[in-house]
Amino acid sequence: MIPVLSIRDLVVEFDLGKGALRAVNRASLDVEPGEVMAVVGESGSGKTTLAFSTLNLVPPPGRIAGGEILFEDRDVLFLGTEELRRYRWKEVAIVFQAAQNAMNPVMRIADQMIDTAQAHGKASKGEVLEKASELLRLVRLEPSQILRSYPHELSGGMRQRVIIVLSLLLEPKMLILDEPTTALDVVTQAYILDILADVRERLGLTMMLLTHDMSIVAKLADRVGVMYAGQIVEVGKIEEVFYDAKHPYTIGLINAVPSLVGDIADKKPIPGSPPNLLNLPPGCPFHPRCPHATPYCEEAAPELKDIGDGRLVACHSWWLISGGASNG
Amino acid sequence: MAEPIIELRDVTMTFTRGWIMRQAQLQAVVKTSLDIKEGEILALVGESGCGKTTVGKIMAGLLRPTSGEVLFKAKDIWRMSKEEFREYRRNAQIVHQDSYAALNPVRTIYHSLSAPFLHYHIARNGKEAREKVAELLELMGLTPPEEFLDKYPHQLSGGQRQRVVVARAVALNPKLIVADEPVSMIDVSLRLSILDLMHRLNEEFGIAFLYITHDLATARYFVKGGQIAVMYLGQMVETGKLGEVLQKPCHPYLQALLSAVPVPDPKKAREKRPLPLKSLEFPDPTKPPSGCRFHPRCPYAEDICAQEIPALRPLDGRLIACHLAERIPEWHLL
Amino acid sequence: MSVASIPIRLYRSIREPLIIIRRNKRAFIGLIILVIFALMATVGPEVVPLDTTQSFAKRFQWPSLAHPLGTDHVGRDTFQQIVHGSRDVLVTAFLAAIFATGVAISIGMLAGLQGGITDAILMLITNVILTVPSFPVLMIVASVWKVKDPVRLGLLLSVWAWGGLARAIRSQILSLKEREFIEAARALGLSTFHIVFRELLPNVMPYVAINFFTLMRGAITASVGLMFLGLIPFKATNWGMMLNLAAWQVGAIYVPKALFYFGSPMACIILFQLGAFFFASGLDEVVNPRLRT
Repeated sequence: MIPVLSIRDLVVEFDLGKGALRAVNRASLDVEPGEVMAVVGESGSGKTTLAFSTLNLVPPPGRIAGGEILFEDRDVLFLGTEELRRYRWKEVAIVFQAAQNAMNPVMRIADQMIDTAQAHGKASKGEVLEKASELLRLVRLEPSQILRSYPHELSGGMRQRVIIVLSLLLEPKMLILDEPTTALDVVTQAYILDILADVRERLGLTMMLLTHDMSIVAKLADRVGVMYAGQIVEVGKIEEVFYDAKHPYTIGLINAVPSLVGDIADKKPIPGSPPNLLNLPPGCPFHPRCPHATPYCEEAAPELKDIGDGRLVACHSWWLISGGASNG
Repeated sequence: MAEPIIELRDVTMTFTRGWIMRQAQLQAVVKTSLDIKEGEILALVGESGCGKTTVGKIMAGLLRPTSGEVLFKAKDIWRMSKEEFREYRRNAQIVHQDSYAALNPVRTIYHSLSAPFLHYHIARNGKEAREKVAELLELMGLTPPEEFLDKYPHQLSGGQRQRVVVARAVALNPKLIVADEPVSMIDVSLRLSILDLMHRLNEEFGIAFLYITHDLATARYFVKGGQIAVMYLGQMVETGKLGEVLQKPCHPYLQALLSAVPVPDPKKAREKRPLPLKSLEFPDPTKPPSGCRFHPRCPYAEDICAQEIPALRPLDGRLIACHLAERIPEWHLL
Repeated sequence: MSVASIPIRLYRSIREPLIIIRRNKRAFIGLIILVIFALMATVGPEVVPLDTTQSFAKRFQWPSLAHPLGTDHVGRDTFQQIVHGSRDVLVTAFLAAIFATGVAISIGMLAGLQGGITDAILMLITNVILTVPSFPVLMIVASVWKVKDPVRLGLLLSVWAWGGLARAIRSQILSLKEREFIEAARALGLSTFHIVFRELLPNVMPYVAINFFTLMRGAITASVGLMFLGLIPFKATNWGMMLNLAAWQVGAIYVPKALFYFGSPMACIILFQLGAFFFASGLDEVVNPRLRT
């Protein structure tokens, strides 16, 4: 089974006049059909740039400086304008961060649905609205009430669900969600996550979920990729990565997130400060903060290696390392 | 039993929009009472719009409540003499959520931190002030201090800026610091380091903290054995020892909230099922429900809930505001 | 804080701004132009003599070594007149800008800080000043009130110039007032004086500094305009007066030989405006620390 999305050695740079900032620094990731792949990283890790790249939407002064992005078997970065238009939204759709505020405030929801669908190809208003109603019911909203409303008449949670419907309108194979639950209250957040799980099952969707929140990942994801300083440093099944992480950053991150259950004493922050993307340290970008760092780590940047069973780690000493959330 | 340093009694805060037409009234805080004892850590928890930030500002003396009393050393701060108020001021400080907005962008770190020292004559001239500020920065873990003194806020990272904000709050050695979502805008991997810093200040200098947040997990981490107070739409719904309240919440809102909080542990996260609520939608704060403001969403609501605002009363070693508290089914976190 | 250390501190505080200006080519050119004019206005009249003897034989000569900008309609050297006239022109502009800025800051900050009735009244006054067309009013006032020296002229011009800046300052204050760092300053118990002058005002200064040059440019345009129309009798060496004489008395627009007599003051005015504009464009980076990395 070929992966739906295959990112290989992607490099994205931003030209800032006084030097280039590498937002994505040779990142590689595969997303298998039907799975929920979470990409976890803090601010500056490059995950949003990664997501934009999959739709070739990196805004200038950013540019894709290397690597390839294969959707099924075609390289997205080489698609012509017409093919790109057919690819975007129809094959892969994206829900941006705080998208609920990005709707046109002077258009009713129904019109926005029609507008979106028709921008990507011919469709009659009736067809669009039928599809929209079906999807709205799937996300537990009442179509007749929602379609005739304006965005400001809906609550944050409702708007987020409308955005999800907008993204599913053309039946894409894959949905990318960038921090889908920030700015929502906890109860609504739990509800949206429930709905996303539902939607994924009913539509057989493949999802790529970008977030810094480990708890959302724990709830929704099948596999997780951890991103640091523009690189993917660990990939694996959710339980493997949480309970038996192999990369020191992953372990550090899991231990840095407090929880309502479990021993408080186990939790501690990661020492040091986030990497300066304009001036990355030599070798492994995490080594200044790593408790297991050796002199070799400063010399050579570790490659993302397959250590068996689909597990990938980018660390020289991975076999010595084990850690993560305590089981039970 | 330590004496409370600051006490809010029956405080109500009403915001009015439009001073001629009185277009909309927002009762951000409704008849709320809260007190903080010497050296105590109290978490004030609730979701956005519940009034917790307003309570924090009232406690720090930055907002005058529409009714009710704010007592410092048993005297209402809004009826104090200038001298007494000045003493209160020195003892109640605030740490904001947004470290960038909390510092004057056109002033250096040195200027922002030396202002209180010079104003209160703790330092007599520039040279002494510089020394004191350097000491303070070292206490915050910002070493070497010389590297930070002449920088502007935008030249520091988020974590460093927040440490400067905490430094400013600690400068006058206050009895209380109101920390309003101090780590929400900080990178996940660094949040605990700021919380650890604040905890150290509490242990070493006996500074009490009012920790305002919507994130129950960080509240649990920071407060440890301290107290928690939960608010919903301007009303205090449950208070008590944090460990007990989180383990066995009595108020239906808190039960629903705790059932919905995601847990960073795959096995546990998938076992959890959120408690159903009658409605997902938050009421419009300018048109709040009558009586207990939670009643439209509460699965156990009865007639009395819509008629009377429940008062905070003791039950099971904690205070709870619910007419039907005794009959709410038990719910455990684990 | 000894007196002897003052020159050192002055040097240190000028050094970094100078480096920033040097980097921005446009701003640097602007600075050079302004410095040249400043020297011309201060030192010029002492150094360059003014020979007012009239000699019809020497009228409308082309530029030469003896007369770098040629001569006027009565044989007087144009360059000398330009230099001597610069002082009044620049003093007027400078004073007008200072007065207008002072009024704008006072009114803008008072309105923003006080709010309520004070704000409403001050804004009413500001709006009147802004809506009434300034130049016609200036013309009327100038013809009634005998304006004889640069100070009075500067004052007159400033009356109508402060409106926009006052409004802008007020908006900035209104938004800054609510910001967290001001709240923190209140929590620390810092005095109102400190909050106004040492926290709020520095935030407004970048905008004020840049606007200062805009005000100067406007003042020159207005004063030259008034003189050109003959509403203000001034010394003949004042650039505006030179234009007036050239246009009305000499008919310089029709006489090609008068090109330099007419063109020199005009060129100076334009050059000054450009210099001020370029310099101000680079000023933002100097005065606003947020733009420094």
